[in-house]
Amino acid sequence: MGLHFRRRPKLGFGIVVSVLLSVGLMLADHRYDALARVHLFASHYVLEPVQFAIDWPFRATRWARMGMQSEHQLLLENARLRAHELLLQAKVHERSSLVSENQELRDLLQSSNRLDATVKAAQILFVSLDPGLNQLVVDMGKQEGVFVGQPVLDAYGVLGQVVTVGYRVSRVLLLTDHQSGVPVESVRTNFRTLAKGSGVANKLQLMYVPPTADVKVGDLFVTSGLALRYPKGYPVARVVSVNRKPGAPYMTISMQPLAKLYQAQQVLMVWSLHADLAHDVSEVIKQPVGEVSHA
Amino acid sequence: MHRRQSISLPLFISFLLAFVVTILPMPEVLRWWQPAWVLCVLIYWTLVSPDSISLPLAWCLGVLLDVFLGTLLGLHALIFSLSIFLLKRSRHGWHRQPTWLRSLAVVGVLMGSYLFQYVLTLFIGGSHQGVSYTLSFVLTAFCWPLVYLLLNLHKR
Repeated sequence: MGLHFRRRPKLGFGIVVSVLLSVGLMLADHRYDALARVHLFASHYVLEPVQFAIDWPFRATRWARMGMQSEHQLLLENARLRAHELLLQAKVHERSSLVSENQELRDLLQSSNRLDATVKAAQILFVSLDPGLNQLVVDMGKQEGVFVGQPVLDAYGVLGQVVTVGYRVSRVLLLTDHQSGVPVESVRTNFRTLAKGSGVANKLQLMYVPPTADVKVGDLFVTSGLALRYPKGYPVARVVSVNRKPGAPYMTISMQPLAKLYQAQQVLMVWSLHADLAHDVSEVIKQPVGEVSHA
Repeated sequence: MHRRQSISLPLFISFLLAFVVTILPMPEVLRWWQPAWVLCVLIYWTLVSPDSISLPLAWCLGVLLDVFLGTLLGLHALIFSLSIFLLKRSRHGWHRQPTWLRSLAVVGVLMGSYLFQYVLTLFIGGSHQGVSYTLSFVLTAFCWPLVYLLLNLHKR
């Protein structure tokens, strides 16, 4: 009996200490992101080897199957790929002529709105395993000039934006996170609106679309470049379903992002030419309406 | 003293397995269905031999899980230590209680921890996927007998 009395206060003390410690850790992680390195370290030295080891039998069977594939099949595939490459080559030529033509037209219009931006490829180091968190960690940070709010793309479309920057790594918030929003416009109708993440994998929500707007299933939406954060004209998502509810002020429209959010190995970090303008614009927006119109 | 030594190896192996299963690479859809393996194992050992699980151990396991999952550091630590505290505080000899009472305790603790996690993520601004949390909770509750049977093997 005496033992029980000695244990009780110890347990109570223990729980107070562990609650305090946990809350402290959570605050530190939430506020300062200094613990991103701990996550990184763990993923590099523990998570990756374990996943690699578990993946081993699958890789081995894939490799074995590839070895057994007949020569005939390989030849066929080779021919198919050659044809495909030819097609792509043709498309590249077509595109380059279009680009130069576009350039000339823009010069004629004396427009400064150009698509060019500097791009660097970064490696994905860590993907959050918690299904509620749509985040990545990539191997570029302050050292390479990465900044908060920087757009991140893959070969197929917009992937997300940088939310925190470390010295050598940074965290990318994916499009599908419920905290993410991208200003987009329809390619078909130039209708401008906002694509918001839904928190569910591979699903975006198109916001503030009145029932009278012309949006169809299959419509392609690209970045409008209006927030000066994403470069203009990169593909974002395609409309999957359109729901009109009678009486509701807006339609419910869901889209599927074009970027391969969960298959990408490498991503493209974009240094847009307009990034430095964003600050000025936000200053102008803060001013009262009268002053802007005078200026 | 001797009993404690005999239990430490199964304890270690079961936690190792729970962690490995948790971080297995798997398709996005299945991830929502992933039961809380580590919590299951933790509850099991707390019920079967309360002396083998201490609060600091539960806390450390929670931090480890946070590091692996990429969740906010301390989230699972808080949940784990609170669950174990509640289990230990409510009754001293869980291993001497009838099975129905123990199952009730398990479901209660699981439900509490899921609710708590949901509320915490709401505050922090994590996901708002209430339904998906329920999926995982239901599956965890169903997987519990499996965990129980598997872990009982060590007694032989």
